[in-house]
Amino acid sequence: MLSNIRWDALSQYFPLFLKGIVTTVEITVISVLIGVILGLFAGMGRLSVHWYARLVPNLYVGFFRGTPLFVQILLIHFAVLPAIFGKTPPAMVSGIVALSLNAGAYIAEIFRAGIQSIDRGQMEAARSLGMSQGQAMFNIILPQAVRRMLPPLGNEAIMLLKDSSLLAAISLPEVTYYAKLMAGKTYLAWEPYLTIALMYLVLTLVLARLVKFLERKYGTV
Amino acid sequence: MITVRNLHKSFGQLEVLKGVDCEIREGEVVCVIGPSGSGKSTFLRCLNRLEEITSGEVSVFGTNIADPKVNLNLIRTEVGMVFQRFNLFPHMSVLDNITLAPGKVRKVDKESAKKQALELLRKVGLSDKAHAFPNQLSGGQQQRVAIARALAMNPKVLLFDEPTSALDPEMVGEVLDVMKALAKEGMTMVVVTHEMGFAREVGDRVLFMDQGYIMEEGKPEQLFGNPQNERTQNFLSKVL
Amino acid sequence: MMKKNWKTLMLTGTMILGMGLFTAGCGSSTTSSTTNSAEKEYVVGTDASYAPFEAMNSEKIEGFDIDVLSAAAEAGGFKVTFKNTPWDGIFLTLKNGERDIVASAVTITDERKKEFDFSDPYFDATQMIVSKKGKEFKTLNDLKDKKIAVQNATTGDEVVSKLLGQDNPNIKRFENMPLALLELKNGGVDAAVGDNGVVLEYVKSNGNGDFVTAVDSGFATENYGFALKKGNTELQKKLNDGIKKIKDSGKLDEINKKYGFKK
Repeated sequence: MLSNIRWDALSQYFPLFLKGIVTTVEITVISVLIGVILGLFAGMGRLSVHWYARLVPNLYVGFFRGTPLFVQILLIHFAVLPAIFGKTPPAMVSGIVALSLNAGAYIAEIFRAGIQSIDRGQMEAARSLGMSQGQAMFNIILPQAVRRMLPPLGNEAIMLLKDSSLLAAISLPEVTYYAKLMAGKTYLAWEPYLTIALMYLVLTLVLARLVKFLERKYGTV
Repeated sequence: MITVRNLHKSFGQLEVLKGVDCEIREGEVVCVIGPSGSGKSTFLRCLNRLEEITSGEVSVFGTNIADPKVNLNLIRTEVGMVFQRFNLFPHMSVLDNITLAPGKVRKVDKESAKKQALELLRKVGLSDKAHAFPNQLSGGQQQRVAIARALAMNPKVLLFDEPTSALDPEMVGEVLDVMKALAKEGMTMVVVTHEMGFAREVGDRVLFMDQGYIMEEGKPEQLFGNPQNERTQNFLSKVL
Repeated sequence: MMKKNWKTLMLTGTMILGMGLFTAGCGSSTTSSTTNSAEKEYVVGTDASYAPFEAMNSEKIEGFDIDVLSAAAEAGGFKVTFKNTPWDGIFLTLKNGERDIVASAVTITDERKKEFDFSDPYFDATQMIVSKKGKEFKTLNDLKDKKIAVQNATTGDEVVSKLLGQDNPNIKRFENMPLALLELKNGGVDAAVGDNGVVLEYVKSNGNGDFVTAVDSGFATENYGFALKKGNTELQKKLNDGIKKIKDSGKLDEINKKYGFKK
């Protein structure tokens, strides 16, 4: 049965897969970080009592959660960014923009839920001591909310890691791109796709472990 | 010190306060009693505008805080509040709970804030708990920390919102003792409470609220001993 | 603790790999459903994003390849039905029996012949370099340090891979030719390389005059053929028979003329 696997082809393309998986990890990490910042502002904006402060975050979150990531990637790379810069930016730029914006929209909801899950009494206690809304948010609410947000944030990072495979469509050389390259060149399917599936699996399992560890360390109070 | 004129408060269609007038003078301990749903907690929360004021006037140290332009944060530094459910910050040690607001709001330097906090902890009998976290304390201890936290801002008046209602019976005493000591020192206090014994013993004045009005007010011996209003009589006959 | 987790992980991995190998082993024996009654309809895979050879006209697939194969089938006395199939993976559908024929402007190459059988050629093509006016590239050598868009796993990809090296990041591979050419139009790459028929069609219909096309003298003439699963000689014979008949009858010339291709 093992004779069915084309180890020779696999070993020829494996260095490319390693190169690709590094890019996959890079783009995921960068996008999660930017997404957290975007999500923080969008999430807090959505909690504002002022309709005009809610407007832009609501539209943003609504759009990026309500449309497929794949469509967003194509739209951003082939239409939006070329229109802004006058020419297509490198795929890496489009990829980070698309994934960050998408992650930010989901993380905004995580922030919103996290903030709303904190007992109202916490905000009242802080305000009754004379703290401003912002001081109370950053000193009292967010530190507690972030602990509760760790599991959903970890899930979002795992989703993003997997979804980065869609960036192959804009020729971003992450690991799926190289698997498609191998499949196209060798007419093999099992070897490239099962290999990268296992690579993704290892990464998502490690990530899930990491989240569990952080959860235990900074866990519920 | 605090003057309330024709205070109305509605939640949507529901009118909870239907025109409250009262005066809190410096050094006074005013206890607010009444059946649940009478509006007494809402009344208290209007005094530092934790609830938006629908109409009327609430003048605190001469400033009408119903005015939307007023600097609430400034007023609130002078009006401390103690909550039914303590509302300590669970992610901070007892010491940090107490020193946070003085540092952030009053810009007190770390050392003197800490010194003051330890002094306050001694006062509420929890000197050994400075580095504990709230979830390591009993309810009574948490509430005493909450009082220390409020005192750390050196407020001119303290509002207590049913401070012993969430406590196990054996812990009520320790909290009331701290409050009595404060009253003796001359702290101005407004206390919403179900503890009739405390109101009678410590209160300079007692307000009986029902259905969104102050139905009757007077010195404790008068209100408890010889209530005039039929509702007051009715209420007291149930709780005493 | 850690040790146990790694064990679980490896176990999971092995299980999945094992499942894969098992199914891979079985795969080859389960796809012989193609020999049926006389009314058998052969399923043809085509990537309908390759005008003028194959493209979607609202719900219908149309184009040169469709016309040729339909005519050949009619002449050869068999039936075909066309299914739009993404280029990425189109050959895998032959291997696993999902499609009987791939008619998608497929160049007959030695590489591909190792894996598949082909019909006789029905069209001559050549690779073409397309670049933007004012930033023109005429020969393969001009492209040595340039960014080039191609369609993944096409002969254009092959030519450029040979020049720059397969893992050169300057090669931008896309799922289909329109996306590769869009990348050129938007300035994401300096040139694109693809089959002349498609490139010319794109240049004609997109901003006439903005693009420059060139054929490198080193580009060999390529032949399009219909690809089949290795060993499907029965169908191969039928196809070749049909192609011969439309060549002889002048039908193929007629179709060529319809699309404006020279003989």
